[in-house]
Parts: sequence; C-alpha cells; structure tokens
Amino acid sequence: MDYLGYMLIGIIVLSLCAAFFTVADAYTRINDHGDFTEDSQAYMKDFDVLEQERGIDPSSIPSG
Amino acid sequence: MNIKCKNCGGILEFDPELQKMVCSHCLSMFPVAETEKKHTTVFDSSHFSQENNVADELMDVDIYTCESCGAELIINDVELASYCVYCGQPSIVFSRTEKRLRPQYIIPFKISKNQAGTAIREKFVKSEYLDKDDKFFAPELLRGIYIPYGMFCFHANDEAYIRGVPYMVNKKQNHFPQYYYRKVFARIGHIPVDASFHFPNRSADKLEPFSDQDLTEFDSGFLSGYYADLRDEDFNLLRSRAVSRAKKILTSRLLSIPMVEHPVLIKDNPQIKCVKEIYALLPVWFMVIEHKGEKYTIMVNGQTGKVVGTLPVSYKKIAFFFIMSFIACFLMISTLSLIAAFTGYFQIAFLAYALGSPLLLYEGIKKIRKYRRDKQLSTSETIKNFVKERQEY
Repeated sequence: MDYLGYMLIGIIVLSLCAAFFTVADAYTRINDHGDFTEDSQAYMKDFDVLEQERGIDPSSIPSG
Repeated sequence: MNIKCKNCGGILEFDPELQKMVCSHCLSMFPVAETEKKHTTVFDSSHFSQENNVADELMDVDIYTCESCGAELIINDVELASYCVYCGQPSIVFSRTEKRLRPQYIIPFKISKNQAGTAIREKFVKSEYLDKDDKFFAPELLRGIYIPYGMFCFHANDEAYIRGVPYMVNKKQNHFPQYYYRKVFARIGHIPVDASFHFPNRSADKLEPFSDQDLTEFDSGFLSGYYADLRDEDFNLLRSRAVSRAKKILTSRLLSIPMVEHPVLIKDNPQIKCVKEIYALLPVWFMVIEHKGEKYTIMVNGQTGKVVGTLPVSYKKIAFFFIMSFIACFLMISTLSLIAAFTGYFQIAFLAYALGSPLLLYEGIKKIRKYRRDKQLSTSETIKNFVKERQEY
C-alpha cells in the first residue's frame, strides 16, 4: 500500500473521531448545568486582601 | 390547614408572579402576611424553645385531615405542605404528633409554573437529538416543592503561599514562576446545603446558586399551592459540608491573583468560623417525563429559572447526526489532505491523523462519560421516588 492508501485510512479514522466528538459535544452543551465552582463565587460577599507580597523566597515558606 | 379567602371562602394559593395570595374562585388578592391562617398556634412562638439555636426550635404537628373534604390522608413523615389526593385542594399539612423543626426563612417561588414550563420547553427545543413528537410535554406535570436547606455564613481568615507565573504581554519573554504571599479576610454568605435525606445532594448542588436577597421570614402562606418537606438531616452534618464548601470557595478566590497565570496553592492555613446558620425552605419545580419506558426528572430552580436535568435522546437522530458529521468531516479533511499532499507537506497530514484522532476520541469519551453521569442523576430511583407520588396525584 502506498502513502495515498495510508492517507485514506488516516482521513477515515480522523473523520470518524471528529464526528464522534461533534455528536458528544453537541449533547453535553445542551445538558451543561454550569460550573459549580464559578457559580459558588456568588456566595463570596467580601474578600479583603490584607497583605500581599510578590517574589518571596521559596526557602522562607514555613514548612509543616 | 387551608388558607381561605376573606371574600368568598375559596382556597387561597401563593402566586409567584404577583407575590400575593390569590383566590382560585373569586380571584381576590391578598398580601401573604394579611391572610388568616387557622391552626396558626402550630407556629406560635410559645411552642418553641426560648433559645436561639436552630437545633432547639421545634413545632407541633397534627394529624392531617383535609379541611375541604374531610378525608384522612397518609403522607410521608417529612411533608409539610401537599395536596389532598381526593379533592385536589392545596393544604398545609401537619402530620402526626411528633415535634418537627420549624423553618426560619423561606425563599418564595419567583418563577411561576408557566415560566418554568417555558424554560424547560426552550431547553427541549434546542436539543437536536429529540424527536419532534418528544419535544412536547404537559406543563401540568410540573410540581412546585419547597426543599429544606441549611444556610450557613462564615468569616474566614487565611494566610497562603502561592506559586504562579506572572502574565507577560510580550509572549517572547521568559516566564519564570514566582512565589506570592497573601493574607486575606473573607465573608462567605448563605451557602445552601440540602437538608432533605431523600433529595440527592448532587442534584441540589446543580440547582445552585440561590440568592439570599429573596430570603423572607417563614410564613405558612407561602406554602399554599405547593408541596413542602421538613428537614430530616442533622445540622452538624450540614455544617461540616458547608465548611468544606466554604474552603473550596475561599481557595478558588485566593488563587485568582490579577495578572498571574497557572496559580498553585503551596501552603495555607484557613480559619473558618461559622457566624450564622439558618433553616430555610427553597423553591424548586420538578417534572418527571417518560421516554421509551425510562423516566427522567427535570428540575427548575424556583428562584432563578435555571433548568437542571438530562434530556432523553433519540438514537435514530444521533445516528443521522453522526453520519452527517462524518460526511462533512471527511470532505473537509480530504480536501486539506490533498492540498498537503500536492504541496509536499503530507508529513503534516500524517501527524494530524496520528495526534488528532486519539485526542478527539479521548475528549469525546470524556463528554460521553459526563453525559452518562448526569443521566444517572436524572433517572435515579431516589429522585424519581421523591417526585413521583406527588406527580401521580
């Protein structure tokens, strides 16, 4: 089999996988119920950053 | 207990669109607080413990006899409001003589039955995989149920060390991770935790978020025209679930540092203190539909209108959609492959087959697994039994 034969097999396999993905994606999009972690941020009433430091030395991080 | 119209003696029901009690007979309208409720001694404060602790607030509940037709009914031991199965009148039910906790707050239904039906219909119409005939359902199957929840407020202090990559506008610049220290204070408010043993927690989570803006002091008038359950889960258990959720919410917010990508929490020390806990009833519309012998439960958040539930599928439509997608993909990929072959870049085409096929297959399988998990939730016996009896009346 020359490379055109391999190419045809590749095209068929990739097309099958792409069709499978399209069908699965279309269905899960309809049944998507939102991101629970993102939705939960609605319960965060106040968030105050009291201190923030950037570029700290990792060896200064207390262990334990 | 029935709540009766002052003008004609008909039964009053709570209308979510008007936020008033409406007489089904003469269409008179009354504010909820102004309606006369028989048996109000059931909720009289003298029946409650003087302590503020929610776990000590109790109420007496009576054996239920329908006031419209006199029928005596057997109801489940956590039901607070129901319909008489003989005459169909809505009733607030006090079953048995055991003591039950009194809800402190309620979020009254904001979404009417029609609005909930429309929300579900829109979801159904969007589904390419349903047969035309299956896209129609009877909105009268919808049942409004108040679900018992514990709601918790927390104050949280945390000191955290985070590793992240600073965001660079110039993408060619080297990205080295940096370490950050953050000390924060957060107020996390009214996290709802489902307090009904019979209602699956995962389903309850998916219905969220509920907004505390509509929390109102409990009034039995809001229950008229709906079903309602009392809580049957231990508050200590609910609190521990709420604490673990508060931790997740805090961590997720801690990691969102402006202009920092891929943050990883190295170490933190969260101190979370529960400052308030309440027992509330929250509104949910339910519907069980039957599709080819299998039953699916669809829910609508009675405050926001969010629809939760996995729809049934028509395998004929899936097969058709798959074949069409295959033909479209085949034509597109063949064209691209021929272009690659004629321009001497066929190695790129082979690389695309080798990498693209397993990746698409893997992502597709992940999505199908998610669908199966969601479907299990919608078709589970637990939730079906929770709604079924009420829908069959």
